[in-house]
Amino acid sequence: MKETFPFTAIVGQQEMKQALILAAIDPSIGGVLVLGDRGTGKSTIVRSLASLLPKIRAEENCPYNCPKINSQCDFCKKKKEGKVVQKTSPVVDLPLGSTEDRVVGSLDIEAALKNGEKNFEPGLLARANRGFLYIDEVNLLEDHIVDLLLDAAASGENLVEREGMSVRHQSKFVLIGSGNPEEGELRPQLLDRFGLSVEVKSPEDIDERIEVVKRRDEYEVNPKKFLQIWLPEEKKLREKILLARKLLKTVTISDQILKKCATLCIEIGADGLRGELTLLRTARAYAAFNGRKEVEENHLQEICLPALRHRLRKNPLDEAGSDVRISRAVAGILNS
Amino acid sequence: MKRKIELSAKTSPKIKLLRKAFYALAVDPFLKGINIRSRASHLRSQLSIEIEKVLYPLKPSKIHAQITDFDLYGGIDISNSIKEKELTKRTGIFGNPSQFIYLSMSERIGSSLAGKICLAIDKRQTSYVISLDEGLEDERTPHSILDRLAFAFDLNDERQLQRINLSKIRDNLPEIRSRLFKVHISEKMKNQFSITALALGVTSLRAPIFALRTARALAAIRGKSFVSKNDFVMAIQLTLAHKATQIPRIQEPQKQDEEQEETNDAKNKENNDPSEMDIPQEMIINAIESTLPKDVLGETKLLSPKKDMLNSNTSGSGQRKLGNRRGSPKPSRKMPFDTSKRLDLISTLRSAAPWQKLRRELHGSPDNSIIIYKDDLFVRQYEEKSDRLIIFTVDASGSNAIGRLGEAKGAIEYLLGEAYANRDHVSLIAFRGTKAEVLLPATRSLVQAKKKLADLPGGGGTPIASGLEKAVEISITARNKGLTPTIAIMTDGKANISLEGQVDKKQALSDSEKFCMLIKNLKIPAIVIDTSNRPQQPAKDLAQKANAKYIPMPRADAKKLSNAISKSSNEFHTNQ
Repeated sequence: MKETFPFTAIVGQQEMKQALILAAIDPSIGGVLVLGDRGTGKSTIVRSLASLLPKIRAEENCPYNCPKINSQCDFCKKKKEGKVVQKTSPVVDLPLGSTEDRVVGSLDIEAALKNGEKNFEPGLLARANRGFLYIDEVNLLEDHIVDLLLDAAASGENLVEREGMSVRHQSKFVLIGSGNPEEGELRPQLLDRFGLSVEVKSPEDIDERIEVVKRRDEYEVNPKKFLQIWLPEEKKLREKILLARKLLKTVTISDQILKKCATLCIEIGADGLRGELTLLRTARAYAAFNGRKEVEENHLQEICLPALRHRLRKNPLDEAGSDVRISRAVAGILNS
Repeated sequence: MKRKIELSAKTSPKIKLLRKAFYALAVDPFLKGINIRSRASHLRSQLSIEIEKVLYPLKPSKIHAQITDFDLYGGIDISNSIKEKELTKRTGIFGNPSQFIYLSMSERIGSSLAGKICLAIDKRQTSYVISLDEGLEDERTPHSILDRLAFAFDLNDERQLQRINLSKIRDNLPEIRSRLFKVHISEKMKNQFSITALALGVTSLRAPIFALRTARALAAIRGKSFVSKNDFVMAIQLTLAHKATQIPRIQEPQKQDEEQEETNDAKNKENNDPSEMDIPQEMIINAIESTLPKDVLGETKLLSPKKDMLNSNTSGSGQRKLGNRRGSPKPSRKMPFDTSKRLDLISTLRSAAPWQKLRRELHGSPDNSIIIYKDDLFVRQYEEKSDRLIIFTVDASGSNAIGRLGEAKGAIEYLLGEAYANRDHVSLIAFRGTKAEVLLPATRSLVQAKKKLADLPGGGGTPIASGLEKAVEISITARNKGLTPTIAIMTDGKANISLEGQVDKKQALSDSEKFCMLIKNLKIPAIVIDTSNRPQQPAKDLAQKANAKYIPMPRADAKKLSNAISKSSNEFHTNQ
């Protein structure tokens, strides 16, 4: 496997990195949307996730990454015996213009031609099970593919009814979408389905930019050495994530905080109840990440921007943007 | 050489730069590629020959706008597999290390193909990418691709024939490459790349990295072990200048002639001291100015990303005409078929029919069989022309009602008839009193529109801002659905109610102006129909600010009005 640029060595983009970590701690937060300029390291960050995340235990050859042999999946059922190994957490790229076949899976043409068997060839949704599914330029993706993805992401399974086959398999993944809003808007229905939304900008700080160029150069000149240097940092973060996952179940939320969440969502006029739920889950993950047993007000404050930013009704004239509106609401409610 | 052409002895400065860029590219594959903007010309074909020579043994493969996924990614070759009775796979262009890629007519590449190419570049599934941009004016290679290639050149001005001769470097390549990472580059310079990039308004972080790599490659080519001042300036010229969006403000940058630049270049043997090097800003700026096209400097015509986004027709599916019913059918065409397309069965059979007798004999098939070859396949084509939406924004205020609301209603009714004939969608907004009301969201049901219109009462204030706000909202949603909106505003332009619904003439005016600017910026075609008794200034102003067409409502001539509306929306179509 080719080494990727280490996650921890990426300069800046704190908000995006944090959002991804929180989603990795609690997948039920439900996906991260990253919007921003070109060349800000969106793709680099996502692709570096694979080597950062803790490995998963899964059956060696199972295309669905089943944790045990005798599970429900078609592959393992047939195989009866197998070996459970450590696999890197899957981070699957979904290229633009992927056909439906490639996404949900389809008839295995190889087997059909060779042996005349009607087998199912798993698609990207199977490969992404228990991991991340990354769509670059999500705003340019065909609508019907987007619908498929959202459906699978929400239900946690993929149901295929085509070419005379009926297959159902688990497909639990965290959806990560990135895009440049200048190239096309995202439908509001889709926006709302992402748990967190992050805006990335090119760093405008000279020192930060210099650091980016330097590190990249160091990495290109001697990748092995560079990875070696960053190994301890990566390990530290990985352990922190593992610890947070364990802690997550024990983190409690007081009624007072719940009430504040709800007030906040009402105040900014977010549609539906997804806002509150995401706020809660994200705050809980954030608390766990910081080793706390209870969600505190400042946790809410830290995560409310990515959790709510994309749930506001857009006002075409308001140039201040949603961040300012949220901050104002937060300041009013949390400090009261 | 097959035939001798009298080539001018002198190589133009731009070609010299191009040569440098190309050498750097050949030495360091990380630089990824080059965008060459030029119509098909002798120079360009000569260039491709040279490129192929230098990059040999890499073989060229072409990606064009209509390429299929099968060609890109490879897969199971079904027809061959069946023929050979065993599984044959074909490799695609991506992931084939023995090829480099030409993007032919890269300005035609749509956003989805651009996405695939970018992904391949990011995942290093391609070696070099040579993008050949034949665009005119606003057409250009998608930005996502440009950003990932280190160099870009515009050769449209290079008319004279000249020798390019790139292949000199070929024999030395392995040796230069082995030296590449031993080249020393001072910390100060490393920093300077980022600073310069930012000063030029290049926000992408790929650019300074490319600059750094280029400088190193240039030094390696010269056989030096450190990056000199000249390498540094040259690297900036090659990688940052074409991505610049602003000229850095430096006190009086002196204009330097390109000729002078040349001489500097020639004596680049000096400056052998790598440690103490201070690069004056002016020098960098001068180098950049000489690379930029001359006319750019005068105006602020540099590519600003915002403006570009609106003009470009290649990026952005928001702007792309999706056609909510997938457009009207066009004659089907013979073309490579894959599952993303729809087969035109009748045409396919028709094209296969004349050969059936021959083919049956050839394959020894029974008489009632139909043998279809891959070449027979016809694919259905749809013209993706999106539907038009006309948003009528009607002033039903007192000032207007007394005057000519009745007439305006008549005109709209006539227009609705026209819209029906053209299969346009319509939407109706009325504003009166304190705010506007969407009487009819985008619809095709004209009966409803007529009914709503007839019931429309008049009277009250003139909240133009509120009316425009609704119109813009509807336009944006319509665009996302793939419709092409046109706003038709019927008013006398005398706004007196602010957006908040307060009676405040001044605020009302500034609010409505804001929305006019928005209409202009969003490039929504608009038309203002002045419904006052005589053509008057307020409505004219409104039209001007929204970049809309101004038409005084002709007395009882609804037909003229309709012509005006169709014209303005059509004009916009052709402009796009």
